[in-house]
Amino acid sequence: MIFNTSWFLLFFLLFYFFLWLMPTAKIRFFYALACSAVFHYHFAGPAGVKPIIVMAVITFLLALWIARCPAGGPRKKWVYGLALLVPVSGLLFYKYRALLLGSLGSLVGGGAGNWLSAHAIQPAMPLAISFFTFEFVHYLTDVYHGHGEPVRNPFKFGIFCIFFPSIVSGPIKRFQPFLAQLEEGLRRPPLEKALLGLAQVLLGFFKKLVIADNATMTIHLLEKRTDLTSGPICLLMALLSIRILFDFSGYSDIAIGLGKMIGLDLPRNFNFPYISRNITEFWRRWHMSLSSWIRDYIYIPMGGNRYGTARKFMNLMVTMFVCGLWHGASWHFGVWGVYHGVALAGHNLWERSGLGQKWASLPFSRWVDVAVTNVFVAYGWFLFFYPLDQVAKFTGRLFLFH
Amino acid sequence: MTPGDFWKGFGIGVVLFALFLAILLFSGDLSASKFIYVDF
Repeated sequence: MIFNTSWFLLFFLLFYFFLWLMPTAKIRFFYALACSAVFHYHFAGPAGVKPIIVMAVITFLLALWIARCPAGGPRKKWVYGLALLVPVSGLLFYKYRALLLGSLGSLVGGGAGNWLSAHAIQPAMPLAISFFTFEFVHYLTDVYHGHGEPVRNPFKFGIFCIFFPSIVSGPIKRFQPFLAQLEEGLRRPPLEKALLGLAQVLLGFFKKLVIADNATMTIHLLEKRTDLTSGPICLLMALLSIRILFDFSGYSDIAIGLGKMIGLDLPRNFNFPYISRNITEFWRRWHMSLSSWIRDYIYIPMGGNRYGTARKFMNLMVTMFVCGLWHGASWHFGVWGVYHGVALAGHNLWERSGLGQKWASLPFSRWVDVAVTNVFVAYGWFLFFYPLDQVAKFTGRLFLFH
Repeated sequence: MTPGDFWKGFGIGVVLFALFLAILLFSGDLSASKFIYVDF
C-alpha cells in the first residue's frame, strides 16, 4: 500500500508543512533526510533497514576506494568486482535464495538435492531491495568508469539511497542528476512547480484508486470463474493491460509528483507505452528508468550490438531474462522476459528485411502495428501475472472459440 | 498574469477538482488496494 495509507498521508502533510517553515536550504536538506529515514524505518522495520544500511555503507566506502585506485590498473578492477558482489549477493540471498536452491535441489536430486531443497528457505525480504541493488550497481559502475565523482558526503549519499518518494519502487534514479539538485541543500520549489507536482500526485491517485483498482476487482471476478471462453479471456487480457499500466504509472506519478512538490526532479517512467508501433518502441516507453538501466548496466557491458547479429540476440535474451526475473522470484517472470527478448530480436530482423520496409511504407501499417504490439504485450501479461500452468489453461481456452 | 494564464489555471483547477471528485466517488476496494510493485 504505502502511498495510499493514512499513515503516509498524515506523514506527508506534517512533513510538507514543516518543510516550508524551515529557514535555510541546508536545514531543509537534513530535515528531508531525517524524514526519509523515519519513512524507511516505519515501512521496512528494523529487519528491513539493517541489511540496507550495511549494503549502503560498504557501497559508499568501496566507491571511494575505486576512485582512488590508478585508472586502468588491475586493483581498480578487483575492487570494483568486490564492490559489485555486495549488492548483487544481497539481492540473490534475500530475493532468490528459495527459488535458486529449490530449483537446483530438484534438478540434482538424491541426497545433495534433498540437502539443497531443505535449505531453500526464503528469508524476509528487505523493502525495495531490488531497487536499492540497481541504484548501488549504477553508482559503483559509473564511479568505476569515471562517469561521475564518488559522493564524499555520507549525508548526500544517504538521501540518494532513501529519498522517500522513490524508495519503494523507483523511478530508478541516477546519482549525478539527482545530487546536482542538492548542491546547496534543498531549495524551496517555485510555487508553480509545487502545484504541478500536486496535480501529478492527484492524477496518480486517480489512476491507481479509480482505474487500476476497479480493473483489479473485475479481474478477481473473472479469475474465480472456471467456465471462461475466448471472449472473457480476451477481456481478462485487456483488463490486465489496463491494471498494470495504471497501477504502476499511477505509482510513478505519485512518486514523481511528490518529488516535484519537494523541489526535486525524478526520472520519467512511462511515456504512453500502449501507442507503441513495435516492441522496441514499447520498451523505450515502458518503465523507462528500468529499461535504460538494463541497457546501460547489462546489455551494453555484455557487448550490446557490437559483435554481430548472433551475439546481439544472445545478449538481448540474457538481458531480458534477467529483466524478467528481477520482477519477481519465480520462473514465469523469466519466461515473460524471454518472450519479450524473442520479440525484440524478431522485430530487429523484420525491420531490416525488405518486406518489413515495404510494410512500413503502407499507409495503414501504423495502426495494424500498434494493434499487433498491444495484443502481443497483453498476452505477455498472462506470463507476468500467472504461473505457467495457469497460462497454459488460459491459452487453451482462448483458442476454443465458443 | 494575462487573462490566458488565468483561464489556463482555472481549467487545470477544474480538471483537478473533477479528478478529486472521481477519486472520492469511484475508488475501487480501498481495503484491498495494494500497489503491484510494492513487494519488490
